[in-house]
Amino acid sequence: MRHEAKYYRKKGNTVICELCPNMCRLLNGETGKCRTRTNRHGMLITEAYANPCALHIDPVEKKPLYHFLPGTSTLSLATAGCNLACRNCQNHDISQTSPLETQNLDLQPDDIVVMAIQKGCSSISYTYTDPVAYYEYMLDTAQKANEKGLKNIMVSAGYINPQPLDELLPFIDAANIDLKTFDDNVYHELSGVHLKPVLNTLLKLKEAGVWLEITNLLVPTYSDDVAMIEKMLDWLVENGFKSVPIHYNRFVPTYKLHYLHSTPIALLLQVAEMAVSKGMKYVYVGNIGPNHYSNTYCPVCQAVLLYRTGYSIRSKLNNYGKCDECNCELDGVWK
Amino acid sequence: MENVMSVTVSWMVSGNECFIVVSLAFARCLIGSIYYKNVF
Repeated sequence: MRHEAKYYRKKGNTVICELCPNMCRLLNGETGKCRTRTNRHGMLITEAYANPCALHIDPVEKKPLYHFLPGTSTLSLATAGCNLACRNCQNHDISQTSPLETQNLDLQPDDIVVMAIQKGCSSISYTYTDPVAYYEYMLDTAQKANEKGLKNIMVSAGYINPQPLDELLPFIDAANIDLKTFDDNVYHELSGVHLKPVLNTLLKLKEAGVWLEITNLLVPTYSDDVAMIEKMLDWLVENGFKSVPIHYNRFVPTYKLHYLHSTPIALLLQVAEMAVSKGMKYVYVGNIGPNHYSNTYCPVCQAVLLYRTGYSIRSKLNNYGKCDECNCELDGVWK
Repeated sequence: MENVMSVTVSWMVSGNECFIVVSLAFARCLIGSIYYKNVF
């Protein structure tokens, strides 16, 4: 479904898309790296509006968000397209193609909101592909959802320019940002983009008070260097992210990196221990099944407050997000 | 980025790693799709 895009300007016989730091400059008929935004006779249009190719009801823990309304369901959607080109993308069949090539549903923002309410979901998640690629659809849906009291969750690589992010932030309640590595060359090699804009997004989200969690997938030979991970942790600690949950996820061979091995579990646990020793309060290890780092512990008395098996949880938090043992307040959004 | 297909289970079989994409959450996806068809 075609819809005029936001954030572009004309320059000569081209259009420059200013939504993300790729800043694609497009001749008439050309489409940006995201595969969703096309110059049509001097107007930038998006092909990713009201045509999701994926629509699921997920547990919020799957995003992953461990400190945001645990145990609730979230209506999750994506259109085709993505402004990154990750060699390890596990959703490449929908991310590395255009909405013109996928089988889509026809759902306006209002329809999504009605469906979320009817299904008893507490939130809507913009996920699977990077929602920056369907920015206008996400923005309009988030506004409508916000009016109806639903929460909005953005699962993203955070590769977006400051101005469009500013317009979106008032409607976003929680975000999980994929911080892929702390080496700009590796970032570009792995995903075709750069590190700095992602860090800027993290800072802006924190400043805006959006509930934030970070995912770092450890890809062997790309993002599994312990010294690099230590640099990332140092930056997070120095910039006030100690209370932001960090998820170290295991890579499994896929797409263009099918020839690699899975991340060794020992390395994931080593990195998690390092994160704790650096002062990160909430450290998780994912994609390896239940483990010590699946659970949420009280940062003061170390009691297990949220015990997780897969996506099911047992909670010892009281209704106000406080530890039942020592009454310490846990960071997060609990109701 | 979050996997659209949900949980991935892997195990070793004779040195070759096999993958099965499953399960509860995916079933919920299917249920979601069926609901969609019923509603609209």
